[in-house]
Parts: sequence; C-alpha cells; structure tokens
Amino acid sequence: MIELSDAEIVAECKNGNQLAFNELVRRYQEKIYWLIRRMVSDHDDANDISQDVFVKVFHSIKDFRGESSLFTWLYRIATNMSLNFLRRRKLRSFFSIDTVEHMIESDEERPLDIMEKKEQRTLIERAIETLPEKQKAVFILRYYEEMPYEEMATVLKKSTGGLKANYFHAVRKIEEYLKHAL
Amino acid sequence: MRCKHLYDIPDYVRGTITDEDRAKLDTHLLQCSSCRTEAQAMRALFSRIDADVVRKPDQTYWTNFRVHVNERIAAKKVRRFASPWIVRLAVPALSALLLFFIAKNISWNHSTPNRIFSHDELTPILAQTNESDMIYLDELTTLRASDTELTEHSTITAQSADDAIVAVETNLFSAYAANGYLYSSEDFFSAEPSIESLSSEEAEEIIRQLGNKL
Repeated sequence: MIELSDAEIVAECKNGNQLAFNELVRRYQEKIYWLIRRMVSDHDDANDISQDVFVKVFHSIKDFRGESSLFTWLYRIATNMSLNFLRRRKLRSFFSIDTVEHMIESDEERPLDIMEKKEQRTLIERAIETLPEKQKAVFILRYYEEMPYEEMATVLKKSTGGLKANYFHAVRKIEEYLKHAL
Repeated sequence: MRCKHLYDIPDYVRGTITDEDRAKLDTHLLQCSSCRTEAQAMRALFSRIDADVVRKPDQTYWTNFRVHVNERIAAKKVRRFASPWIVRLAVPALSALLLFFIAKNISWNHSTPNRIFSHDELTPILAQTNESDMIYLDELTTLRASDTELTEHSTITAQSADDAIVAVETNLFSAYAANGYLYSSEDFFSAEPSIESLSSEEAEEIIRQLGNKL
C-alpha cells in the first residue's frame, strides 16, 4: 500500500475520509501519548487526554491551514490540553471536605488512589512532575522529543532564547530534586 | 558572572546541536571550568534519565487506541445532538412531529414520500459502498425497523469493529438516525452516491434541508 504523506492525509481528512483519519491516529498515537504521559505522569490520564486530542483533531482539521507541519500542530494541541489538565488537577488538589466526600461516593478517582499512583511513579517522573507547567513542557519537548527551538517557539508561543533558558533551568531543577531525594 | 555559553550545555551534552556549535563548545570547555563542571553533572544526570524505565502500554492498547478515539467521536456527536436543553425542547417537539406524520400516513395519506426502509431495500444500496457500511443499517434499523428487520440485522456484521465505527463516524445516515429524521426514498437515493465525500458540515446542511421538508 502506498504511504500517504502528512499533507495528503490532511487533505483526505478534510474531505471526510475516515480511513485517512485513522491513519493519522495510527501514525501519531504513540508520539502524542508519550508526550502527554510525560507531562501528566500517569497512564490513565494520558490515555484520556491523548484520545481527546484526536477527537479535537477530528473536529478541527478543517481549520488546519498547514502553516505549520501536521506534527507541530498536533503537538500544540497535545501540549495545550496537557497544560489545561495540569491546571485543573492543581485546582482539584485543594480539596474541600465536600469534594472529598463527593469523590468517595462517586466513581471518580479517590485521593488514596491518586497517592498510590504517585508512589508508583519513578523518581525521574516525580522530578519532572515538580517542574512548573511550561518548563515541564519545554523539558519534555526538547529532551524526549528533541524538538528544535524554532518549532517549540510555535508550539509554546515563546522566544527561542527564553526556551533555551527554560530548558537549562528545568535540567537544573531535576538535578537538584534527585540530589535531595537520595 | 554567568558564562554566556551556559544555556548551551544541556544541548551540547545531549548532542542536539549542530556540528559547528559542538566544535565551538569543545574549544570553549577547554578554557571554562564552570561549563566543564556543568557538562559533567548533566552527563551523569542524562544517563540516569535515559536509564529510567517507565511502564509501557502493551500492543493491544495501541491496536485498540483508534477504536476508542472513534467511539469518543461518535459519543460526542450524539451528545452534541442531544445536549440537555436540546433533549428537553427538541425531543418532545420531534416526537410530536413524528407522531403527527405517522398518524397522517396511516390514516389519510398513503402517497406520502416519507417511509421506513426495510432491510431488503437497504442491503443492495449499502453493498454498493463497502462491507463496513453495513453499520448504517444498524443505525437505521435500530431506530426504525420492524422486529423482523432487526432479527435479520443481527446476522449482519461489518468487516471489523474498527471499520464499523469508522463508518458510523462518516455516515450521513447515522446522523439522520441520531436526529430522528424520516426521509423520502428520493432523498435517500440522491444522497447515497456522495456519502463518502461529505464533510460533517455538508451532512448537517443536508439534514437541515431534509428536516425542512418534513
């Protein structure tokens, strides 16, 4: 079978070709999952968000003008959705008693489950988790994805100089965390 | 004072810089002890990070991933069509409208173009597209068909569950069904050849037009 280019896949998706959309998902599912997984440090959350990323892609691809590569566009959606999730999670972590009671009664994840999940994370994952949200995104995109600064600037809407500084400080913070964790 | 090359050290150690920059930093590190110390520490840190073993999802997870994404898309569409206020307002209105047309069809007007399509009528049309499109029939028969048709339907299978979900997503008729519309045979046949090339907006526009005809 002839492998379609990203541009051809986008064009086909815009025409409503579901098989092309499936190919897009297949092609990028692992990359998107790992980007998000590293951002949120949890498989279940990463699974949830990465699926939502592709749902969003499905509905928004008609608006994708091709000014950046498909890959950069996907990463921007995934990064933004992960950052939003982290902000919401931070807010949720300030539980009121009512919220806790509600969570115990409902099927939502309970604080104990969250703690247990945290304990399962590796030391490196925990170190990355302590980084401020945007810095975390910079670290993950640069370290794991080896994304060029120019592309990161498009994804994160920051200057390349600022990104370089952020990356350096993120590395330093992880180093510090590990030093104290030992 | 902080060395101006300090921020380049992580990329230097990681190997994510150009050969030209690498050569420059090689020379610089020979003279700058603070950058050298930094590089050494980062080298140790990066080896630790690279050695970190994170639990990975198995192959089944990746195989099913696409299926789950498509399920979400389908669920979202249904939710969008049936958000709480829509449910509260549109469902009773549509039900009343449907009852009116059904009653009208039964009692007085046998020549109305709106009618239910049987399994036998739909099958040859759907067979012209591809096997996975059989799921269209699922949507239609579940909402509209007689018991006999539903029984017949239970023997129909798509090529794979994946294909079936794909079809639901792209299919105009599933959108009709989700909206509870009846449509004429004329509409049905004229819309059929363009199913695959319809965008969601085009589909919704046709749905709107059909809705106006009711």
